[in-house]
Amino acid sequence: MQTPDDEQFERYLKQFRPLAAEPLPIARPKRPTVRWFVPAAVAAAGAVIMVVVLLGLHSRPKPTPATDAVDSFARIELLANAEPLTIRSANALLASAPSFKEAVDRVAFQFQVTPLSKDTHSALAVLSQEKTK
Amino acid sequence: MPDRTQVTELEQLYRKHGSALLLFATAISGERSRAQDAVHQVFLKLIEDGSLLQGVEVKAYLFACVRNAVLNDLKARHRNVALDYECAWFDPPDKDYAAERNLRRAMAALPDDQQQVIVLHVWGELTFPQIGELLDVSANTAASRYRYALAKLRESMCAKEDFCANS
Repeated sequence: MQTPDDEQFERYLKQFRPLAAEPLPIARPKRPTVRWFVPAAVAAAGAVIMVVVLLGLHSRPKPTPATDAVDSFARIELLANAEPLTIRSANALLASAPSFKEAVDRVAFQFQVTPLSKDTHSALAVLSQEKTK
Repeated sequence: MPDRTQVTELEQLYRKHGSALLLFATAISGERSRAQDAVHQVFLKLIEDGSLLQGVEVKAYLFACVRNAVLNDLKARHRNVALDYECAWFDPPDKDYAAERNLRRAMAALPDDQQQVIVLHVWGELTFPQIGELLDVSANTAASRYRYALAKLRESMCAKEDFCANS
């Protein structure tokens, strides 16, 4: 029969933990998952390359007349809106426009709305109301 | 080829009981490196055989295997080995290495059979019937050896430490 002293001493002894053993020197068998992983990785890499190539081909700029016209139209509009017409900008417009007519049209018929103050009147409006004999 | 599940199971057992088995083997053989070899040998043999312990008390069986391995090794070397006092056996509480050394020396002073019973019961957490079966004695004899050993250890350690002052 163990006494309380024995039990207390036993608890004290248990505080001394045996040192850990060295790891087992075993060669782990290779996991079979490696076998299917390799071809799967190759297939995935192939798919990624295909997608990159297709995207590259698709996004390459094509020199079509339609896109050229749209581009030049946009450029004209940009120039016309961005700065006042000067000889230099007119030359640039002419050089980039598909035709002379289109360049002139875009510049000449820019509709600019300039709000007038309360006490002022548009000269065009006044002249148009004037009765001509 | 060993079954992977069984290898994993044995590795878990090794992680769980490896340190107590190693302490037991060290207490018998007196040499930590030999003891470590014996414990490894037991587990590697079990992995190789792939016949893990169906329907037996696994922990007690492992202690018995380790004991046999150490005794066979000692027999093969035809010599008695003095206990290795220089090599630590325990990780002491509060890093009290002096207490660890005292405990080791006190254990070394015990007769072999009492020393084994102490290790098996305190750190191996085997019951007295299990210890009796392992050492081929009755459970009562195992318990009696344990009480003697515990008294000697306490006496020996009280002479050098303040454990008795706290108790």
